[in-house]
Amino acid sequence: MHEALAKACFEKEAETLKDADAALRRGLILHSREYPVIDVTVQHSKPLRLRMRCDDWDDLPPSIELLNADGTPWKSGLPGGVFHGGPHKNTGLPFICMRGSREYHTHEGHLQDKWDKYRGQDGMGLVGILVQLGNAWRKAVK
Amino acid sequence: MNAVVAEPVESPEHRVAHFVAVAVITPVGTYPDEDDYRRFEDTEIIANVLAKAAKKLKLTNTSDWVARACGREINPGHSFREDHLSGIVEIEWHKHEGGGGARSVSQSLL
Repeated sequence: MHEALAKACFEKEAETLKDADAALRRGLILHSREYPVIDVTVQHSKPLRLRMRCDDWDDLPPSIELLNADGTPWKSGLPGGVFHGGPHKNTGLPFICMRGSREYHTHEGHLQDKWDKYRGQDGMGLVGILVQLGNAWRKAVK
Repeated sequence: MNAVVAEPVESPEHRVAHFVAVAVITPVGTYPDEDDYRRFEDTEIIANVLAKAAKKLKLTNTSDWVARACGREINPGHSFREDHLSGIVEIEWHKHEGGGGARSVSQSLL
């Protein structure tokens, strides 16, 4: 996708997280939302920071890094399921195993579950994916 | 002394209207808007309010979305009153998470 178009799509969707209050209403602490990255922390007693790299949005789903709240790489255990301990063959890191994550759609177990099936669906935008992950984290980590 | 005071029973025709102030927060925007709440009688069915939000926010396929309020999943088929929601109600409404696995595991694994 042309970068200018990807950036325009990104800006339109990231506008939902226009300020800290808008993010907090969705259970997220906003660190930055400057193309091509959205960087947030899931509000929780055990916070999880998610850094989404959204180059080529929405031809490609975002690549999502799992981090500690201070921005250092996540090193402790993960609950499994959506939050996979990895390593992912492309990144060598823990990864998000949920439709809407680049690492999910490029994982050998999910190559048949194409991103095109979800692209453009209501709730599968950048903020929609983050909200789902926040909810999944709160369910998995009591 | 422990006194038990019976609450007066309200017959439907004498029931005083109770209201809730509602905001529906979705990934694409908030109903009625980012800064306001809309008032509904607490007998209003939650799904009707979600339908208004979907219309305003131009959402066309929300069949697998989940609604949560007060830290729990709520039943859109209920009224606010039936779901024990009162006062200011912020409904988080979004697509259900899913994918490689969605099993819940306790924090003890972390």
